[in-house]
Amino acid sequence: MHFRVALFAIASSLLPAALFAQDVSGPSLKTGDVITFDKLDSLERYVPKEFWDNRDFFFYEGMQLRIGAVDADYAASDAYQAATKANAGKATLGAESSLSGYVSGQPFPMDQVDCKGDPQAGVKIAWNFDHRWEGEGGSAKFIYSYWDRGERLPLYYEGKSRRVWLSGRVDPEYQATGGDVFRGEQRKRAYGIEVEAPFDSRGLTLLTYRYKGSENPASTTHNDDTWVYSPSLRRVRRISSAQRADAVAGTDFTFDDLFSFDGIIPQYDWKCLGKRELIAPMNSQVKGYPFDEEHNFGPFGLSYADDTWDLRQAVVIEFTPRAADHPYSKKVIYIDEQSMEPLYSFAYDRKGELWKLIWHNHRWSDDPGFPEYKGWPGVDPPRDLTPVSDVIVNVQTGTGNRIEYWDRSGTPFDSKGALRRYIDQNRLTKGR
Amino acid sequence: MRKATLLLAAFCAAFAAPPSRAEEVPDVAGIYEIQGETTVAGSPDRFVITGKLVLRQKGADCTTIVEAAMRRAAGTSGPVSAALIGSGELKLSGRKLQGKAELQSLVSEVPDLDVAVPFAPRTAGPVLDATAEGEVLADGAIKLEIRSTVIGEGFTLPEGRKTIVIAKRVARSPTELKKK
Repeated sequence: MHFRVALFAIASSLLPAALFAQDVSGPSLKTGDVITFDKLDSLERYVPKEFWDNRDFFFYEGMQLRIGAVDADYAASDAYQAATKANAGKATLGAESSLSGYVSGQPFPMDQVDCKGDPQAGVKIAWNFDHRWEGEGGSAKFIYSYWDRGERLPLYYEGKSRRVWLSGRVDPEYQATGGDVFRGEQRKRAYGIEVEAPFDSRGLTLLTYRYKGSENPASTTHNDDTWVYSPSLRRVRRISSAQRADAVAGTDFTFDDLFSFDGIIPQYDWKCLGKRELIAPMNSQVKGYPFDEEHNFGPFGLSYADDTWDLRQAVVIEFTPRAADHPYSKKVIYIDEQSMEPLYSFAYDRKGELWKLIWHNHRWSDDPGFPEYKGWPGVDPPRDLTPVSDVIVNVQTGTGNRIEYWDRSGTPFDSKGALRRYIDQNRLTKGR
Repeated sequence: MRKATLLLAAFCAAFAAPPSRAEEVPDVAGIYEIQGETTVAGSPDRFVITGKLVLRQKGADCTTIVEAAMRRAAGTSGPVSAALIGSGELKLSGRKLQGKAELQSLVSEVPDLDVAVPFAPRTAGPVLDATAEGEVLADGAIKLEIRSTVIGEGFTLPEGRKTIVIAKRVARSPTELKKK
């Protein structure tokens, strides 16, 4: 490990200065180290520079950051890896960063993506990220809280969410339909949210379809459809979202900021900035909402420093929006190279100043402390490194949001009928 | 809905006027919480404005960042709420200030659904070219009167609107905790 760290230090010196400027010196980290506030300097070379520059939000007196595994094996399920191998070479890039020929698994096997030599490496990694393994998708209870320089604001939302992949599935039962859950499926995935609290928002329900056509060139893209049931309106509104990348006061997350990026890839230009070793919260050993609502997230409410962080290999990509009126001039995203899970991202405003910092915590489905995430026929064990919390910090104003969903599981619905009912927009008004 | 967004008109932030003589420039750098309202002459419409104003100061020159929300408090025109984000410049002349900012408005795609509800689709409204005049009050707060015009086509604004906001400094930097 020390040898690897030494190699990394040498390699870092040859890579873009802006990305690795902080990787100049400092002690090595090893499994079992506990980093307290007085030893912070030992972390500098292991976190992105933008994160380090804003460390006052995240590191605090009393923190106990434990160094976990070094390059732990968080490879996806056997079924996903088999699909990657079986479908290698089928996915191709088209005009405007579009994707065609994709079936299932990882569209562009990472061991063949050449960040330095391939000008299309950035968009290939973006597609791999978009099609990362997450079981059926992810079902969880969530709480969404608002923070302003350490003060938790009265506003919050609590409820349930579920993301369901409707195509590209690697489960054996969907292989006869080419990975589609329903024959002739045009949707790529669906995403539902049901708000249960506070009382005046109880019943607010959203359902979004992302279509396979969203992978077309931007000029011919199939926009998302969203249905929203508002209790105050007592009816469902259907919205076709052309561009969801709006930034809003009062909530620092945009829809497309979920998981660091959840937008439509052809709406952006992508490039690969490099690879680096870093530490990040991966296999969380604490439990936040809905298990423990009192966990300490630091004085700003936006920190995972009181947890276990792993040493990982990350790929770094950057997007610039094609739309001139997009609120971001660019976003830099750090992605775990093996699991393709988001680690950190940094959004810049139109003036080119760092605006929003996003980071995530995760749990490993096969960890003994995670019995909620069960395997299913053909996918057992599930081998999914799933995000369980997201934090966004507006570094210009000191505001932020924390989303917790520590019970997130990609275990599928018990039956296809239950899935069918969940993604039916008529569900939003049923019984009301 | 576009027409509806027009009342967003208002607010923001940048300021000052060329100094006629050497005057002491007050220290205004920091994060401000803003509160104010937009009214329209001859109309019951009234919009409450809340949000943040960030001032970065270099002598008499400042840059501004605005993140605010407008919510309809009376009347029926326009959306129930809208967000405004943008940036601008400000110049100080003694305690007087004058400036300009460009503001992007955003509204919920579901009428009557608050723009701050997370994950509800939102869409871009008009971009506003705002000018402001004001002063630094004795207690350090900033009072601004704002006028704005719409940039680009497709939107109009009602005449007779008036926006006044008070900005109170709450911190010097984003990492200054509210509670210590």
